[in-house]
Amino acid sequence: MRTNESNEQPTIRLSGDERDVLVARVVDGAATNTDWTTFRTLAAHDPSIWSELADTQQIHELMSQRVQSEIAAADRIELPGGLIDDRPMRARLDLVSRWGGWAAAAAILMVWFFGQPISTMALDEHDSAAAGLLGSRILLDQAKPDQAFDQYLSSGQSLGRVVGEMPERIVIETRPMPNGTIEVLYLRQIIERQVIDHAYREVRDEAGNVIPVPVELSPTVERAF
Amino acid sequence: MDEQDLSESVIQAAIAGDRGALDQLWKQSRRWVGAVLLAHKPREADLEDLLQAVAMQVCRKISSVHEPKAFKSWLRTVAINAAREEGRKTTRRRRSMLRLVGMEQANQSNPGSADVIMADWDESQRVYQAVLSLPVGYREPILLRGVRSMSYQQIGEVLDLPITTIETRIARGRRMLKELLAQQDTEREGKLCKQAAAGGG
Repeated sequence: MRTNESNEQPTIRLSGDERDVLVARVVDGAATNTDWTTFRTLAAHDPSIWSELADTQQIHELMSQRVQSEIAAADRIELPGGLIDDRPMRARLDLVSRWGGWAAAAAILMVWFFGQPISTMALDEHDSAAAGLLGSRILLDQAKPDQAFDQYLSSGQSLGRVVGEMPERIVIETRPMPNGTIEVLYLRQIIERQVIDHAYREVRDEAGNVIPVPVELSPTVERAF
Repeated sequence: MDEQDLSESVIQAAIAGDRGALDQLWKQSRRWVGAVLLAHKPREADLEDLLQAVAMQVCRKISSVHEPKAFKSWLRTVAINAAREEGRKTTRRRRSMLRLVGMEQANQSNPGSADVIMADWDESQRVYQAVLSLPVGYREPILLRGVRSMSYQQIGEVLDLPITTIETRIARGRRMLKELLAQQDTEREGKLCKQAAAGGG
């Protein structure tokens, strides 16, 4: 900031940044006595600062209105009940993250070896057991989707094929319909298990071709899930 | 006491496992956490979902805060991580949806052109959208300043930056905003003039 006191009234020259900061301080109620003096002196010689102040004030007000309305949602969010001790969950997530890459490789491996969808393979393999389990239930071709799904989960769990369903459903899209209802598209996540003999990692050669590379794993768990 | 002023004793108690203190801490912080999320989240992400994710993390991880003074910047980091994670999920979902239902064509035929959108915007929405288009270093302090009663000092505590940096960023950010809005006005006027000329010819 430079001042020139050779005239009757002192004039002040501010850099662009200094001028912006001065206006911002006035708008935000953070101006000191010195800032106000500077502002008055500046305004006496350069009235355009008033319109700058008005524009900045207006932008701030409009933006604040919108931010307040957006973050009003925060007032509805309470902390979940009870302090959560997530050590067992963290241990499990660590396990999943260690195995995540191998799970993907294993999926490729199974398709590679069996050449057919996993679900049909599992049913063929355990056909008689599954038939026994389903015997006392509704026939699949007569079952409603939820009933068929429940049967898949329970027989899958009995056979050790299905570990369970994740509680969270992932909403992909919601669309209001003309009749006032709302259409919701979501994912359900099922955890399945499969025991395999070999694991392969997917790598790319210099030409960008995908090559499966055998991976040697040493046992880290005493028993299966 | 101001809404955003968190006493160290409350933070300390919350870290030590006092549920009442933790609730108080959350209530005093959730609005500015919302502003941080607005600054970092993907546009289509739901703010309420993200706030819930942050609330969950606060419960789970509050004991990992070592210094009460570090609480605000820790909470900001939790919020930014939640927003980034949502960004990654959104990208994955969008890609898989595109593959699943062939939405490339739907996107191409989307009638939401800039003209239609501009016509629907009210002025505050227009300013807000312009704020979201600023670089994050300017966007975040400006949005935090939009949280009622948040001072430069309190914003500095959240962003872990000195007050002078905060006021410079807010001032420069507003300058950028003005220029951006003026540019939009000029472009809109240019289009209107062209349309008028085409209609007259």
